[in-house]
Amino acid sequence: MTRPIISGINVETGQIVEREYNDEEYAQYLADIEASKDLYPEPPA
Amino acid sequence: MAIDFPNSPTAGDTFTVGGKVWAYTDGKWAINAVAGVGVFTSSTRPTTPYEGQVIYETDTDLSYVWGGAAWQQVSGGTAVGNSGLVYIGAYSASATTLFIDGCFTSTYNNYMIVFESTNVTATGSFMFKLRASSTAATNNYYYGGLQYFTNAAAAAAQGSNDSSMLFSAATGASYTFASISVSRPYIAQPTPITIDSTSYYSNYAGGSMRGYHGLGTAYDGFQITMNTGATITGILRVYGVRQA
Repeated sequence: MTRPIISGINVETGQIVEREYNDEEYAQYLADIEASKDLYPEPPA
Repeated sequence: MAIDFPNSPTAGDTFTVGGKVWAYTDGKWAINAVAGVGVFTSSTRPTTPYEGQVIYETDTDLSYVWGGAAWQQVSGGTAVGNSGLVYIGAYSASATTLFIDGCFTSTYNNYMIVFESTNVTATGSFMFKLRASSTAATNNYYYGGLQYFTNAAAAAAQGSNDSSMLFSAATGASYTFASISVSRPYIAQPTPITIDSTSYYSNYAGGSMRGYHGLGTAYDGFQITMNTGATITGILRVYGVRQA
């Protein structure tokens, strides 16, 4: 199973990074989704 | 070669000869690289300027234009070259997390981030995080604010020691615009953050958040993710607020 992609640039060096989440980032990603899933519900109909 | 200037010129007249542009000002013809532009000091400004005449003062480093009744400073309180936002960098991609590192330095106290998103693959809210040495800060975000709707009163939003600062919601191809201000992120002190954003879809109108990151840590970058893990298609631009 592939993990989400993180993509960005270091503007000091010009280095562009595009890779899958590492273990720490992936664990935080799952925790963020769980912690905030009930925040900001759909706008009123 | 003698130059045969026009007779009876009036202030503001220009005359081109041999590839050179002359402008008639202060009762005489003066040569200028660009018509109407002159170099003076604050004590030697033209005494009979013409409307639209532009001068540069070497003692104040300011530019002025004659508006017909007074000299109007072209810029604000500082010289043109020293005012406004200074572009630092940008990044555009489609990914779950978009980031820019190496953008916060001691060169500027305050930074403006402009975020635009044209698509997200799942409905959710954007999360802003600071980064240090390529690693996101994942706690200590304290903030409060409002989420706005077009058909209902605004709803309070808040976070205390959260893992990010949440701001605008978005869905599908709804266009999102966010203006994110960050103050002194490079100093190892709590970092003030304000985010104003809008993403128009259904009855949603946007969000306004203000708060701070509470750790005394220096940061050199930032990232944006969605709380649903959606893929974001967007662009980040970061600017420094010039100080002098």
